[in-house]
Amino acid sequence: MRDDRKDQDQLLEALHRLPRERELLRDLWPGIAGRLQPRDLPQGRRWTRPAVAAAVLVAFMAGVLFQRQQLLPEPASAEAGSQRIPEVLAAVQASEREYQAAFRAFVPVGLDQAMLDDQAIDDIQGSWTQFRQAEAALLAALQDYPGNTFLAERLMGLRAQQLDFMQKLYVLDQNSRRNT
Amino acid sequence: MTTKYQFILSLLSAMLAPAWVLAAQDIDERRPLANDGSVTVINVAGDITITAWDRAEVQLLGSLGDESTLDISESGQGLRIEVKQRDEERNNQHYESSELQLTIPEGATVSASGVSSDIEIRGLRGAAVTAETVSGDVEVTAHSNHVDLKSVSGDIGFDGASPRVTAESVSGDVVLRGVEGELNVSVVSGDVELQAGALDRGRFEAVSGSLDLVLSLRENSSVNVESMSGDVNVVLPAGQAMEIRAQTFSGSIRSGFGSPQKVSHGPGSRLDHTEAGGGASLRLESFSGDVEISQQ
Amino acid sequence: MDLGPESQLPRAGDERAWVARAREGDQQAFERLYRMHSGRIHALCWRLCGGNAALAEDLVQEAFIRAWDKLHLFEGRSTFGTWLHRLAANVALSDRRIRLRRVGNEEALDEGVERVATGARDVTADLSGDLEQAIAGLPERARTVLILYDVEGYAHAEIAEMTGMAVGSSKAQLHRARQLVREALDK
Repeated sequence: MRDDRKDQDQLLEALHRLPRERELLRDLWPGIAGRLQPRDLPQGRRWTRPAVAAAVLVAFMAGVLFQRQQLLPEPASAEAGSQRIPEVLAAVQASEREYQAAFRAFVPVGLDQAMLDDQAIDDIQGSWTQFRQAEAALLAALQDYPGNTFLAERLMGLRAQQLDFMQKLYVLDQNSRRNT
Repeated sequence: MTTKYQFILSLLSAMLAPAWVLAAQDIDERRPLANDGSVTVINVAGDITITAWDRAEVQLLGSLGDESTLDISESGQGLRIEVKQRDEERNNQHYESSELQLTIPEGATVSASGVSSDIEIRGLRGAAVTAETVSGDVEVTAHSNHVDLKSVSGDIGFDGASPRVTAESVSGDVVLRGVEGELNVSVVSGDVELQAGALDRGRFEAVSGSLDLVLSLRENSSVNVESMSGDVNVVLPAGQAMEIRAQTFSGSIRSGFGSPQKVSHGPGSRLDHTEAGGGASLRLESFSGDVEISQQ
Repeated sequence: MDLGPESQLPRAGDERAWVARAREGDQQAFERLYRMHSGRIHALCWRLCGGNAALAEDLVQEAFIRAWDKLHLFEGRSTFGTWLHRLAANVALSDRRIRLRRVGNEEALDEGVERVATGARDVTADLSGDLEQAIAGLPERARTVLILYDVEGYAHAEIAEMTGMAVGSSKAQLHRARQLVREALDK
């Protein structure tokens, strides 16, 4: 493990030291200048922000759906009682179902609880509760603001943290198996 | 006759002494180690304390649980010290605690891991310090190139000078002082307190814990702070050249740099501001926590 | 020809003024911005496309042309360099996505097919066995994340937005990329 970490450090150091600039072998300006369109008057800015947000939303949707080509969100499978669920929310719920399936697969089997004191077990369970509360709050907010890309990014970030957490538990489980 | 009774009494005393007096085995070991060698310590239950000295030697003191064995092995530049449990003795009983106190060369690289273990490391100046525990605190004072500290339910404290620090806790608090360079901090419900030098790169993540960061940013540095419900409080030097992007969904933003605006979609706020011509990048995002950015 | 003071370019370093002039249609000002930033943009594009020199030049040209077209959207919240860098990254990533779509489902590609799908490469065995070669030899998504995260300093959330992958996938790709680079360098 120590050698791995040392190698990693050296690699990161080398990556950080890579030159940020690279000289072009030829001057590209003539080719660029020949394709520049005469400047139009500046467009009104008011409409561009929603357009940018929409582009990001499309990217998010593409990212969510692209990875689930077999699992396109189905409004019919959404929460009982809901009427029309925005596409983003449906996609997020589909992600949540997949994520929870991953969680069930990660739940350590045979985690040696003799290794952990009661406080540690409480803390682990309490932290998972925090994650679920945060997720619920985000999903509720997405239901109110289905086009909000900031919320979508927050949810993706939260899921990544949850995955990290599950991986910690997995490593813990593996270590406990190694020690038995 | 007195002597005979004294002998019987002392024998009875020994037989009736508490089990813990008989159980623990003292540890007293020494091994040679180059100043830039490496030490790996594994102790599932019980504290690990590591301090530095200027000798090319590792001294190991402590006490070993009755159901435990001590394994010391050498390979290449390194020394590995592991406390193991005797399998045949474990019948769903809690692990016997073993305590380890090491004194190692100050230039050594160290990796310490435990489960129900507090880990304390002081005085090292080597390439790296790694400390991982589950239900225990981690307290490190070092001037090493790379510091990596992890705990699940314990607190993490670091004081020293290190160009790259990673600190992760789930429910414990993280308190860091003296970091310059690159810093990665992740907590779930614990709080983060930072007194840093100039950062090249920083990432801070919290779910419900709060983040209190006093720092400065080098030119072209990039610092990202993400919180769900915890508050974010960042203090920067006056005149810090940077681009700030801050956004919340339902939390408020107060800033001594620029003017936050309400967002059009949602109850939250947003701040986009370039200070002193820009250069460094500071990005702050919170779902429901409040964000405050102020000047020193 | 009387150029007059109003046709003189701002002093070197006064980038904001150049940007303002370029927004009004001043191509000389935009050329100054090109001269200032082309090296940086070229490094980004060259690495993202795996060391293909011709493709990198195409991407640099495309990035600056796109920047000229979109300059009215630059609102000064970041430095011009930061905005341009992000735009160039998107240009490079969009180009590869287009190429990959021709091959089919990105997820179905194995590493070998993925490499071929990005077009002929100039990365030959003549390149020294160094870090740049190791990066160029990575699978597409792993290379993208490694470059954007470890070399260029983007956050995973930003990378996710730019590439359309989930943040968790970005982290996984980074881990994979670092591992593969280390393996390549150890050979």
